[in-house]
Amino acid sequence: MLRLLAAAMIVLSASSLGFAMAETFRCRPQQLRQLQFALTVLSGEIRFRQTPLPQALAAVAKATPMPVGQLFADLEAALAGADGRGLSWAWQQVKPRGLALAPADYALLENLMQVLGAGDVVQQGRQLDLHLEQLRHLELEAERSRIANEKIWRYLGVFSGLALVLILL
Amino acid sequence: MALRHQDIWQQQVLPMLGARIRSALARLEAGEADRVEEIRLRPGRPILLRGGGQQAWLSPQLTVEDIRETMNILSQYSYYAFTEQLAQGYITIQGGHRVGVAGRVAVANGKVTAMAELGSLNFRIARQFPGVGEPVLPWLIHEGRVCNTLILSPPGCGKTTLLRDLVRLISDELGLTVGVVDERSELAGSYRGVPQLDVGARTDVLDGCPRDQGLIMLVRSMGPQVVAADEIGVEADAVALENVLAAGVAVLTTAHARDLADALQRPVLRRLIDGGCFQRGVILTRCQGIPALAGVVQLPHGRWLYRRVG
Repeated sequence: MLRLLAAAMIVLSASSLGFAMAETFRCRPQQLRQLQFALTVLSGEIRFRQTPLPQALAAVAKATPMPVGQLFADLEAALAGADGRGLSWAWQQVKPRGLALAPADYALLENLMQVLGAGDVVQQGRQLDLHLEQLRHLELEAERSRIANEKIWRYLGVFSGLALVLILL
Repeated sequence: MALRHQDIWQQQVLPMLGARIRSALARLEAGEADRVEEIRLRPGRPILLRGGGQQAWLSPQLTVEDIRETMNILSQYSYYAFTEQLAQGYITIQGGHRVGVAGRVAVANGKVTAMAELGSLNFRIARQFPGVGEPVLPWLIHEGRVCNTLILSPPGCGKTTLLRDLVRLISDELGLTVGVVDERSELAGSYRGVPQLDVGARTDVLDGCPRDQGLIMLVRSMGPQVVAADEIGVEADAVALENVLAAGVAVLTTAHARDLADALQRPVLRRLIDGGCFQRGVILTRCQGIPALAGVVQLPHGRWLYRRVG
């Protein structure tokens, strides 16, 4: 009886680990799409209304679904306390929460923070277009790795749990 | 609406400065801070304060980083939102204070397109002198109508201050609708479209608008009885003014000139004055370093209506 319970526990925890891994593969392309939406909103604010960044970031945070929207809300809050130290500094203070983004995605965002706010409207528009395009590439890549990995991780979780049970038995 | 100078200093000036500069200025005593009219920030130099005809250096020695931090705060980290203003050499901040900017400029087709690299900053703290227009206003009213008026003065004698107070008085005391074209955000000190200086309750302001277009826009859209604009001098202004006058709207404006004779040397001003566009000229001067009214003349012939003695 006890053995059966232990075996069930092992299978359950192994498969939940697998499912969690699969979940990050599932969420990343979705969040990259939301990021693209966010940058499109930002681009509109800058290009057509020339809204200064604090208000523009607030508008983006409001328009973008969570948890990606939260990233911009946090950035706005960090910028409010930056005391002149610049957007890159504010970005470093932001601790992403509940995101499935990969290091490459964060690297791209960090890159954007280096140039955001530092040029005229035309330049900023071009920079945002460029970053949007790179986000699209990242999204395609994320989608490919989702197709390749999502199911594998689910099966891997369940089956490795089963395998472990077999070995221990 | 009118804030005490101490509140202006605490709420509008200090928060706009980089951390090191702010803490240096926060150490000033209230009496000293009250007198400050200008804060000059230059890399490699201490802070320079000017006011009441005096000046004083204040440590620390500033770095490029201090200037950049201050500029980040001023521009809200958003150069793109201030490109035009910076190309003109200043930013207007909340409270109507103006920050002049110098540095390396970028030029395209002979026109300044951008402030490419920051050098020094000059905070000019806007102060209002409510009431300076009161002794002048009666001279500008003839048979119950506000006369078309040209204020003449050398720089720094209070042209803009006088114009602002006249606008306020005409709006609040005479109850007329006034339209202001504030190309350089000096007159009303607008911040995000809202006047920060008191220009009266019946006044509409077109902020940052080119004078010639603004005058015509106002007449067309806001139905003013009086319009005001600062520092006319080019041909386009003259054409716009003639249009406004043809619509039966009274005009208040200013020009750089020592006196009437000086103004008549300038072709555009001469054409406007000789053409009978103005009925009154107000001439300002400095008397022992303090801006003062030199007199009021009747135009176009220049007969003194009032002349300061001495």
